Amino acid sequence: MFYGQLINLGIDFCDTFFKRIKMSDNSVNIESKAEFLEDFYEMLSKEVIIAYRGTFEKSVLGVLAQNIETTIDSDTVLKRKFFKLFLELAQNISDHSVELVKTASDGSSGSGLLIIKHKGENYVFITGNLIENKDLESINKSIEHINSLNRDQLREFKRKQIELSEKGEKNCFGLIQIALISGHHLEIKAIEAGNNQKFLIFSTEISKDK
Amino acid sequence: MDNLEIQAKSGSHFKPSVKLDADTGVCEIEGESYLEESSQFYQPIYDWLVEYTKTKKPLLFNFRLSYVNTSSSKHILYILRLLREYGEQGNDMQTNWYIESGDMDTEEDVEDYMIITGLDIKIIKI
Repeated sequence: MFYGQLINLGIDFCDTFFKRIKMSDNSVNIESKAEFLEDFYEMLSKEVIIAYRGTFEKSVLGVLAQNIETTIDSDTVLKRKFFKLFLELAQNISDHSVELVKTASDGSSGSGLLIIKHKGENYVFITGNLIENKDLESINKSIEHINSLNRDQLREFKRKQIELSEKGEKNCFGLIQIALISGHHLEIKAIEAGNNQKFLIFSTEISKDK
Repeated sequence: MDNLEIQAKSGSHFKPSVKLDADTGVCEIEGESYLEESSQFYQPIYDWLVEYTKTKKPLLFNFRLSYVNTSSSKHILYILRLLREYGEQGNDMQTNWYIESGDMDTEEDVEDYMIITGLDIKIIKI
């Protein structure tokens, strides 16, 4: 159900992916499964740079970072921007997902979904994670406000949020950083997930020519 | 007073390397700061600086950070405020921030640090 909604954010490959999975589930034919895997692999190879679901512990981030280093064929500045956005989004899931998983160091880390893919002249970053229903309104308000600001206004807002962060008060510093790094609007969609929770799909882009 | 050195793992994107030299007063912090336990990392640096500023000796602080995550940034602000106060007390203090040419995100971050702390940071593009 969650993934079907990703189509609304322009993520066509999810549609194909889950139609195929449905087909694969209903089939006992090994040839059909092999065909599905072949198509799925081709789709991932063409469009998807990273597709990951789980926690964002440092060991995982290290592997994904290595993947970015070797996969992104661009100048250092864009690669750095790409990497910063990846880290901010990973941190967002780790800090705010209510789906907590025990880590190797006896702590816990938020779990979620991260997909990075090509979309013409842009890279698209999509995350998905569970949140409490009660948190949705403030997230929506923050995103709406951030999207309404130009870059200078956004930087001024960021400075105010840093001050709140220093005082230990609730703030949306991380979301502002994501907006400033990406230079694009932030998109969100929340889907009912039961247990007073929503599955929050978050998306933004960066231009390949930056 | 001892020097303080923290070495980052080769190729690490998460922990910067640190070299604070009590003899020369030259301090360097370099790399990317993606830290979950940022207090644990930055507290010894802050404590070292507090001790050093008691000496009233010249201080040159070179930042070569290309990424500071949200958790690390408030600790960077604590350090920058301490540097500003040291300079305002009439001590010989200079703060530089080295930025890769074209890295506008980091340049804007440093400008924002200057506005928030009131510290004059010399941006050096490399």
